[in-house]
Amino acid sequence: MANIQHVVVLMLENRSFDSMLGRLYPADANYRGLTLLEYNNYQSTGYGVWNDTAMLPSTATIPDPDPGELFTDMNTQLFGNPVRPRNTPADMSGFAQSYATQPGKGIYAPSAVMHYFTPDQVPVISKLATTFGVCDQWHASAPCQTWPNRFFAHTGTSLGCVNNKDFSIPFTAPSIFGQLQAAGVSWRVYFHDMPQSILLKDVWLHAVTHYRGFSQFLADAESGTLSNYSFIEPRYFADLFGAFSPNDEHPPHNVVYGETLIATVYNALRSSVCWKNTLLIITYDEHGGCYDHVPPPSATRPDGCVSKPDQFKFDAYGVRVPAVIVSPWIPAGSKIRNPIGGDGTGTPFDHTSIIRTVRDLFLGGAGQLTARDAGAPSLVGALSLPDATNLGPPSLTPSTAQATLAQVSDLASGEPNGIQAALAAASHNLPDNAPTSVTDLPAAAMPLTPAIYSTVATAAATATDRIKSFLGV
Amino acid sequence: MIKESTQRSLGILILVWCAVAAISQTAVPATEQSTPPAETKPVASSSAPAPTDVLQIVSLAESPDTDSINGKPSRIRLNGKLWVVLNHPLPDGATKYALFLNDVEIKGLDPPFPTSYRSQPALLFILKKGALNDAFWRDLLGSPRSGHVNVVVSLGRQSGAGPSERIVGAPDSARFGLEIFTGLDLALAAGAILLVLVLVWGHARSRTTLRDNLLPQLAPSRQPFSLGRSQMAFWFTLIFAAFVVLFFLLQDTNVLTSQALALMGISGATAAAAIAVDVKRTSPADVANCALQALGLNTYEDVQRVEQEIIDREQKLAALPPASPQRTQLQIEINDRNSILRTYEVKTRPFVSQGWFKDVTTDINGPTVHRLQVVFWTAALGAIFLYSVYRNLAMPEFNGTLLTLMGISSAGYVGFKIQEVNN
Repeated sequence: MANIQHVVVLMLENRSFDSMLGRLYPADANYRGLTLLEYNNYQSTGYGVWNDTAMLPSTATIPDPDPGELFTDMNTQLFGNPVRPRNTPADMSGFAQSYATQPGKGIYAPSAVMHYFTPDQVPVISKLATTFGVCDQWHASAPCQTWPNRFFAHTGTSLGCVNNKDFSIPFTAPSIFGQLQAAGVSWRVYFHDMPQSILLKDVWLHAVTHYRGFSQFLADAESGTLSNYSFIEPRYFADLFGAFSPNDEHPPHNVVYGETLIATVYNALRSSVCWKNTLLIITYDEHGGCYDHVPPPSATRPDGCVSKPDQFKFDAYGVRVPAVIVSPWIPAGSKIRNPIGGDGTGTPFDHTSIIRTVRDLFLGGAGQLTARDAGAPSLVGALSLPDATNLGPPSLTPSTAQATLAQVSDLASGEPNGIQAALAAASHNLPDNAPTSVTDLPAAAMPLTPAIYSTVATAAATATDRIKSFLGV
Repeated sequence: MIKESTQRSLGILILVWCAVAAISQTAVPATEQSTPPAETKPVASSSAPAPTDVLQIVSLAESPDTDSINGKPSRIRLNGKLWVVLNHPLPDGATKYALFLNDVEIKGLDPPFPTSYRSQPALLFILKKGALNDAFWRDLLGSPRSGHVNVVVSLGRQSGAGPSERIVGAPDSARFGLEIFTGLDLALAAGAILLVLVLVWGHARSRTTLRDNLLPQLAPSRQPFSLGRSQMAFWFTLIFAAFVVLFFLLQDTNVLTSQALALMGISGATAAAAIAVDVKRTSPADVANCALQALGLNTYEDVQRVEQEIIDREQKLAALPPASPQRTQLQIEINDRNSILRTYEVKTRPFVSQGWFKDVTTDINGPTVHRLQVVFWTAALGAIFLYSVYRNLAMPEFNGTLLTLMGISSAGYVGFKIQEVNN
């Protein structure tokens, strides 16, 4: 068994597998990528998958505006109908329709969500995928918005919530962080502006000591003091004061900055003494309305929760998302699938596979959170080299492109997207200071109070100010 | 505020005047005003009553109708009239005679007008300042320590107009106090200078007169001081003050020198270039400005508006019953606004003034050589300027090297400012 002492997860935002890695192995029939014959119809017009070869900034931000990502939007994308039908398999026919019928401002050209990037346009993630392993069978845990899927990654459930606004904070389900804490296994969360995972009740007692800015990750990697489990959250908000664009790749945020973040993480690990004992998982929380051609299969219900009012039982996965598995223990060019049912009929990977893998590596398989992570395939099997010999390139050179002040200003002055608005609203549910004892923990979670933020900047100011107060930094 | 500034400015004026006087006393003790001339060659002895048949000055007067001013301070000043009263008419006409003060001939005066003073022959001189006697007047009136300078009057032949014998008088008869300035002059000059000090430097305490206004979201009194504007204001104040003082002393508006204009030009060009640099480049202040605008804070008034919104909501919150469902919403609105203000405070901190000297000598990383050299060279030339005005009653004729040095210093500042990380 591979000697893995450090698992690092980088979870980006809202891109589908096909949109990012659909053309990674175009000649490989066994790779479930795009054939370029895929299309969606909308109002009797066919919109095929396509690529903008220019890779201008306007290319790297496709689709722009942001596609719909509510539960009803996803139903439309999967079934062509905002109401999820019972016992009807998804046909992935409604992406163009969902996008074209968005109520927001801007021009929702149906073809935008059918766009894909070629490997040379997203060279960092593509290079890692071919040098190490890519999972073409990794689905979002549920056909739901960001928060449900991120909570699935931490807890194996969303407690019946399908949209960000549905949650009560703190999120009370037990998390993998709590399991590791109880077992004395080290963990840390590294973040840029506001970590979404701070909304877990499980972490509140340990947040002050376990949550650090991203720069600390680089320092920890350099000094060889990485925790057993590290979870990295990207920059969700435009940081106009620092002239930083978001690097979460959430449409329409520029994917180049996400590529830079991935390369930075890889380079830090690759040059660390921890490298030979490290597993890096790069994935995305959900597809964000971007087209993918593989219908999500049914899934194990994590618990008895059912969404309201849709009565969704969380018995199906969400759309495929990119998942690149990086470790010196992985054979180059791996296409990682669940060996049981690797033909696509078995249990695919989803975000709860992270939980399962961490449990297998550090808890001896114990610490099950829900039925979903109990049945999730583990990545341990993909670490199949007898020794840590696939060291990979010494470093990756990301794009040197930097957002201009005008570009960041545009982003900061725009309306906040779903996760930005939700994070700002949720920040009000954080106490002024992190609790230090069990008795300080709130007895009950509080629903989010809707707050209107006219710009990303105002939402960011609230979110970052509240998190600084909470963490005492 | 104005009163405080006025007092401060008056204090500064007095201090500067005292400092310059002290410098002058230390540096040039030989310029003592009231010391009688060392090498007078009188026709008649002044130590004993002169024989009545010897032509001599018997009295001095301001006008035919006033008493003599012998040995007393007078109201005669530059461009005024002086009656020199003799015991006998001049033997060969008045036009060949020149007026000597402290044994130095005043060249370039109009020929005296023969007249009389209370039945005695007299010569009327008009103490005009002109190109030929400019240096004389500057020497005589420079480095003033009171409103009058004692002068000893004598007459003599104009240069080249005959023998050099001098017509003098008894000590008390041929000496008077030439007025340099009156209390009113001093008050008017001080008032004018004070006005400029208050308008330029007093305003600077609470307004953006001397401050950069790169972040309009900051209160004017918190904006950082600008080196370029300070330099320009410094030279403007000095030159204006010098102009006013010289006008009152010399009754002459033609006191500006080309060097003074060059200094104003250099400082003005520096300030303009500095502003051009700020406008052209994307500075950290621009980034902060954009970010604050995205927070809805376009001006300082917006900051005040948000502060008021918090107060309004807190008052509403206090008036609500504890169980009111509106409380949560109000509290969130208060928290949101507090977050914006805290962000505002944190992000504007690097741009808030830390005092004049620190502002003009530092950027965000601390003191910079190019700023320090401008400050110190400006101060050095300013001191020379002040001393020169006091000593010579003239704006200094800086040599080209000094002006070039100032120009290089300012150009260096502008050049380095392009690379600066802060303004």
